Amino acid sequence: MSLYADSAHQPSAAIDALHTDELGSFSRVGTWGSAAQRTAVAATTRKIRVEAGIQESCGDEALADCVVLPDPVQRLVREVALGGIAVDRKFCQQVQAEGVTEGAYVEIVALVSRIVNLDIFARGVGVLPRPLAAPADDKAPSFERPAEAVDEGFFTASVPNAPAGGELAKSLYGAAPAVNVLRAVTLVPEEGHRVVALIRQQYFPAEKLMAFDSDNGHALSRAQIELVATKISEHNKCFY
Amino acid sequence: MSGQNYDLKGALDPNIESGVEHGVALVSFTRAITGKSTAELDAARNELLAVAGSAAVATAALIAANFSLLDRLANAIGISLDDMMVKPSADIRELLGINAYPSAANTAL
Repeated sequence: MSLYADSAHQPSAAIDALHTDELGSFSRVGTWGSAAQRTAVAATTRKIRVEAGIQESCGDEALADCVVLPDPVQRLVREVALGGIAVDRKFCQQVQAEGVTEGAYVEIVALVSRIVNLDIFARGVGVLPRPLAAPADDKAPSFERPAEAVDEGFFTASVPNAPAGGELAKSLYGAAPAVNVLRAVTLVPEEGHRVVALIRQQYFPAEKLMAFDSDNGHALSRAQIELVATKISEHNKCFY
Repeated sequence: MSGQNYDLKGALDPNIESGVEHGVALVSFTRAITGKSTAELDAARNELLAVAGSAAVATAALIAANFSLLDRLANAIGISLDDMMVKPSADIRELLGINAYPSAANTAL
């Protein structure tokens, strides 16, 4: 059954499958967060956005309490949930100084951003957010940091393009060099893979990003797509 | 997009005709999707549906979602503009006031 069966505006089957997989990912163990912690981060994101009046509730806010998230995590989730506009290097460093590891910081940013992705889409096609599942397991995170990740000048480390990024870079980005935003959360490769897949299917694959006459089978032209993108980025005051 | 003339300010203001087909409806829908009013969003969605169809509504929602994701990653991880885009984007950034965004600090201009 389609994830968005109750919407009058159906996405493609590929997007439906992608979003179904995305929704399940919040309730499973990650690299730095347990299933319960990741579920709580996603649910807290929703709770913050509902309280801000910018999305509707689907009734799963109680999952925000399945674990107690420390104060610096709560602050990070709040800032990113509402756009990340006020986040700067000092904020990132402060959150880490208060005990959030660099890897956890990246994973949290990715989780919040990805649940907002799903919820904005649902809002756009006129349905409530899709309910989160309860935490699926109690496995321990791996806490593995890829050796290939280095300081590329962002707030957190990332996996550079090949050859420096090695086989991991090739698995993340493919043959061609990846633009900066595709490398953003690759300190946590699982999140990096997810973001690349989302951009590839929701927008354009990496090799077509700069080809402004390209087509990815969307129902809007490239110009129309960029119009929407520009408006969203204005709202989030995103320079990139 | 090659050879077309667009008013980029129309990307930010639905009262300005951008030259993009259904541009006013798209900008209105996009503004409403990030707003607080479900009534305004419903109206904007219906307007976009009327002029461009259901697939366009779904795609516009998908692009809005995608850039809501990307913007958060870029803002929270401090992603700098790629070197190859700094010079080509200079005029657009000036025109649209993008250089005044707090995240502009993440790129050496």
